[in-house]
Amino acid sequence: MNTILQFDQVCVEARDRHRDMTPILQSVNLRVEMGEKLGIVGGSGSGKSTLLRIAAGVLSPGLHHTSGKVSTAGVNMLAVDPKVRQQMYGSTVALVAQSLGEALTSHLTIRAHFHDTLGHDVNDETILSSLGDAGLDGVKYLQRFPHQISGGERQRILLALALVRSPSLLLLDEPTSALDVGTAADVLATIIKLQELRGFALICVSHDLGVVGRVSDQVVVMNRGQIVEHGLTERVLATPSDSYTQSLLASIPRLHVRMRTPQLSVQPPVVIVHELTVIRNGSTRALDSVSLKVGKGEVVGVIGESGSGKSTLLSVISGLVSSSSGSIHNGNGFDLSTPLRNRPHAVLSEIQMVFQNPDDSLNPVRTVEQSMSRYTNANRDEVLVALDAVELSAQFLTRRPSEMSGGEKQRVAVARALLMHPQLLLLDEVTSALDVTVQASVVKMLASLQAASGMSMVMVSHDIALIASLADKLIVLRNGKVVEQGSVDAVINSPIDPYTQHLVNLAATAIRK
Amino acid sequence: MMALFCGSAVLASCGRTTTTSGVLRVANDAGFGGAETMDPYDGNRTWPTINMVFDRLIGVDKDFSPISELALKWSSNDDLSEWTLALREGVKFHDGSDFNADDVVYSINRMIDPKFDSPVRAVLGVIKAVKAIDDYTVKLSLTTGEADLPSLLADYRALMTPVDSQATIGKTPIGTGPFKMETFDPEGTTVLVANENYFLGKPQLSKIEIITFADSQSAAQALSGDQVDLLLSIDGKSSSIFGDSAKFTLQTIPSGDWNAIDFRVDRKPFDDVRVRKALRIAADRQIITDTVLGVGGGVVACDTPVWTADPYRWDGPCAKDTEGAKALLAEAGYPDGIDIDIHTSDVEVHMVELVEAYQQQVKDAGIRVTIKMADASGFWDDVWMKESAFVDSWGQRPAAQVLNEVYRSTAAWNPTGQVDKALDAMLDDARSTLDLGQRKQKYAAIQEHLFENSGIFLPYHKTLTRVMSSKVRGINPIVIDAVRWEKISVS
Amino acid sequence: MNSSSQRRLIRIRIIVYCVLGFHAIVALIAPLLPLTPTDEQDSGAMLQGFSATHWLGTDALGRDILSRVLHGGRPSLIIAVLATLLSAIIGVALGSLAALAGSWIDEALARFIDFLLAVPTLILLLLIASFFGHDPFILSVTLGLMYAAPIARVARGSTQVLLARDFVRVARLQGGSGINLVFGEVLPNVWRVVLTEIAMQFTWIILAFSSLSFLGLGASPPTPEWGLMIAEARSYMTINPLSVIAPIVMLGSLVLAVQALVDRE
Repeated sequence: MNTILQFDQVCVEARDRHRDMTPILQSVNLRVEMGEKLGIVGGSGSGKSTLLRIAAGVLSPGLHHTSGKVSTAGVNMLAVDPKVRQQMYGSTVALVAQSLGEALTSHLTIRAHFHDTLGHDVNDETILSSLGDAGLDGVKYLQRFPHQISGGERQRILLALALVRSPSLLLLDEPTSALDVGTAADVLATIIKLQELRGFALICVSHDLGVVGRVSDQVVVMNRGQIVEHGLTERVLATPSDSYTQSLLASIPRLHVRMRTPQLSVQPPVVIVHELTVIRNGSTRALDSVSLKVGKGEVVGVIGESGSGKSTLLSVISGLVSSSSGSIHNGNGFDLSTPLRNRPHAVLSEIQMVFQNPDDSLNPVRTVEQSMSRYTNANRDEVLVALDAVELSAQFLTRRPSEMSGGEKQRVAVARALLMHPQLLLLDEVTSALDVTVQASVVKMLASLQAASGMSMVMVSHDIALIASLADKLIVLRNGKVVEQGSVDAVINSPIDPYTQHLVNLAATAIRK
Repeated sequence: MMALFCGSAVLASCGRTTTTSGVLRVANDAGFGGAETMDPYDGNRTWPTINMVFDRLIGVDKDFSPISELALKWSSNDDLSEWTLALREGVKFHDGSDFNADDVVYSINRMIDPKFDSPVRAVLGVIKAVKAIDDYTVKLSLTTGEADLPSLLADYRALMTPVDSQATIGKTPIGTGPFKMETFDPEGTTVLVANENYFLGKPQLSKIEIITFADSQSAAQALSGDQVDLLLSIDGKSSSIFGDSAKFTLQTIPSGDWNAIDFRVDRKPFDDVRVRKALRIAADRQIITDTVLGVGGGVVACDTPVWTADPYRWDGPCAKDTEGAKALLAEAGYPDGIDIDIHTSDVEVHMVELVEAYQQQVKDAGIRVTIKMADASGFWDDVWMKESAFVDSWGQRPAAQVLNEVYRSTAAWNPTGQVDKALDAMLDDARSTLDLGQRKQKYAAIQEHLFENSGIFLPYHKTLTRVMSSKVRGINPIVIDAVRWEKISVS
Repeated sequence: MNSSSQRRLIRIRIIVYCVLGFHAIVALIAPLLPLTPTDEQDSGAMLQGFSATHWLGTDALGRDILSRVLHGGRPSLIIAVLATLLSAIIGVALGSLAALAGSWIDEALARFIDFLLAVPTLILLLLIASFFGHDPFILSVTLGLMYAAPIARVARGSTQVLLARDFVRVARLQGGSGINLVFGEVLPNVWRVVLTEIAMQFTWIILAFSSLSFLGLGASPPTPEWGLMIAEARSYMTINPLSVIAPIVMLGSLVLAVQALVDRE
């Protein structure tokens, strides 16, 4: 077999304005043969994307290749004449970058993108067969612009563009992170089929062991710029030898592993939602006649694909978005369609919310203590208690958001909500931006918080396994409608709705090859 | 055949160049933005072109005394109310027709026609009727006696035009003057050619080009770049850039143009004659003249509009008298000095500087001046004669005209609103006095009366600076009205 | 960014600080300097070049140009500081109010801001000046109002973006509203953008006032003011170029330095 990619003792450093150096890759050795399928997995900052980009001859600004040898098809792509590198792109090596939105040029049609790649004398048949291989049928795509197609279709077009000149090595950077679970599975299936058909070497980088497990024969686990484990995928997933790999695997939510025991007894409600409808842009029903009761101490999980209305539901319950029709009340019968500024403080503090993006949850100019006490009027002792509840030390009082990791910021966000002593905590995809190991610890913390305080929670996620590990009750939303609801066990064990069945199946087979 | 034709063409052009005796290029201001006309009686008359194409009945000599132009002789009856003029015979217009008394009757009737409302009417409105006695004699009947009618007839606009020319004269003027119109382009270059049959002698120049410039800066640039030969007038302070006497000739010409600060005598505090006098004697006029116009840029005036070369000029003592001014102010009820606003605008050169210089001069007499700037476009309509104190600017006029036009109680443009019956009577008396010596005394008395009473602070008459290329000959250092265009040559 | 261009930036920054410092000091202490009085006329020494008594020569009335240019920034600076403060207050209030209120109020205020932006400022100022004269207070208020529009637009846009951010939503859920949100959450995060806009407006106001003076409607003579000085001296540009160049250099250096200061980030 021919070696298509080889790294010998490759070191890469980041240098900031003060000339401080941070190692990004530390003596990385890697060898990929023709036709091999390699998965690279690791947390954020592990160096996995840098490795992939170096293989394509790209070094991000601020990074320096300090030592070691890189060879892609016998050529050091970093050092080679830009003309040669230009020629190798697409014909020898192709990279599908992570950010879907920016990968296509917004003012060019799909046909124009192919013309850019292949030259203007290429006929439509070639383009159509290439699109067909990527699982897209029909001429309708040729004339479309990037904004007129869905995320899954966009990923397939990028794939077709990358493969149209038959490269020997295909590099995929987080190919499914922007896609819904179902769509992601379909795209991965297409990638596997194409690889089997054409036999190119494939390197797929992801933070999701499930994705990597699906597409690769070999897997590399990276942590802090080092390869900590390298082996057959099946072996690594089944019997990991490295401790980091072990914690990574242990962190993945399993469909039938519970963080807390589901409560099934009927409790007095803290919020009652009745036939709630939210109409956007005049006609689109973001929520369509949704009814829901959250009991005291109950954890309700809401799942659905993007656009299903799950985040809208949380926004309406919180009071940030007003409903078009239907009613919403708290346990004492207070009308929660009252605007936030008109609510008594007691009602206001009943419902608090934590958001998806940790970078956006805290005011960047404030310290943790300022952020936490500004509206809650909590004193330092109370802040410390709340920080302790989310397992953060007193050191964090004076930190600013730029000095904290994503997980730490989410913990502060939760602690800030706790200071209001809410009866209901709304959690909007609070772990989706976090690494899987961090996600596990945050989920564990939420479980113990709930147990300690007895507050109710409504949590939204696209990850059915994660939500099942915490929730008592599950609600499945689709196009703004509730398509299924019931106790966690009932939904997982015998899903009725086809979409729920699909999700449960995917989650159940996630780790197995 | 072909060769012959070419040969004759060359010969023809050679023949023409030998007769050429030079072209004079005159820089001119863009006066009325394209609305210029060659009709001398129109408000938008283009000057000095009209004086090259037309002639007056009576001109002015170097010493500003009246001399013959189209009229050979003139005389009046005893009370100066009827004047008879004998016209020059044999004069032809540019189109070959004869000039005679009919043309004079036609021209003067247009000047004094109230319907046409010519600016010349302000000068010659004293003429009641004009009559042709025969082909070469006309008689002018006046509303009152006017000893200085000949001087008034020498106004630069009182030009003779042919009968029934009103419709065509604006663009295609026919005159008797030394130059004939070839191309009239008031926004570009107007071209005049010599009138070989001019009755005062064949012009030395073959051609005059009048070239229009947007502002005086670019006109000055054009002269230093040898693109024009003559600038009729530049600011005295700017003349130093033409210091090279080998290349340029500088002429300073005393003129009757003046600036003033007018105080409305019908408003407080200027209704008090003591305040008015204090405001006028508190300033050193020589310093104001030098500061505003440059040293040598003007001649001090003691609040008289009658200029230095005018036979009726009164030079009266008017030295700075700070103590006198203070005393007058105290007497008038302002022992601690007085605060006044003076309105001005850069609508014309020197109008802002005059107030700035005045403000400095009167400070020590306790007169505190606040300068109020007005928009240039609205100055004449909204500020001049409307505010209580404002700057003013007038062109040269003979004594009889300027005194009646600016100071008479009933004058339309009496800027201070002063009603002074005694002054009106003095004006009537002076203009109808036959004896020159007596007339001079009476006009002097009028000017002294103004110095004591009027609301107009008039510190100077301007001295004009004319610049020309040293190649230009025959232009005497006299006002442009007296320049004989046919005598100019370019070497 | 390589180090040579960084060094160049630092050099530019030092120059900018020096120029601004010079202007600030001159504006403050000009009356204390041993200079010829700005309105002292010398009919014997008009339009002269460099000399020992008049370092930058004299203008058309024989006044000392050095003394006049050093004093010449004070009228514009006083007006500009007043007007800028006013425009900052109006702009930030208007912009954040529009973004906070939303719905028809936002719509109406946004139209109003657009309207202010569409009004030709100089023409309006000319109108105001010819109606109300040269009252510096009225000029400041007019300038402040006119130049509030760009600040309001920036403040509105920034507030809208920030209001949609999660930490502002949390603040609302915890009882924060109105002014509290604007000053507590929004402005601390957009102050740099808004401040840059305010500083830009400051320079436009200085230029607008000088333009007004140039047109004879700002400062009244004999006040030493750069725009007015340029207007008064322009007829004598060829005789004594210094009389025009000196105020232009002062005005230009101040405006460019302020713009460079806020532009660097």
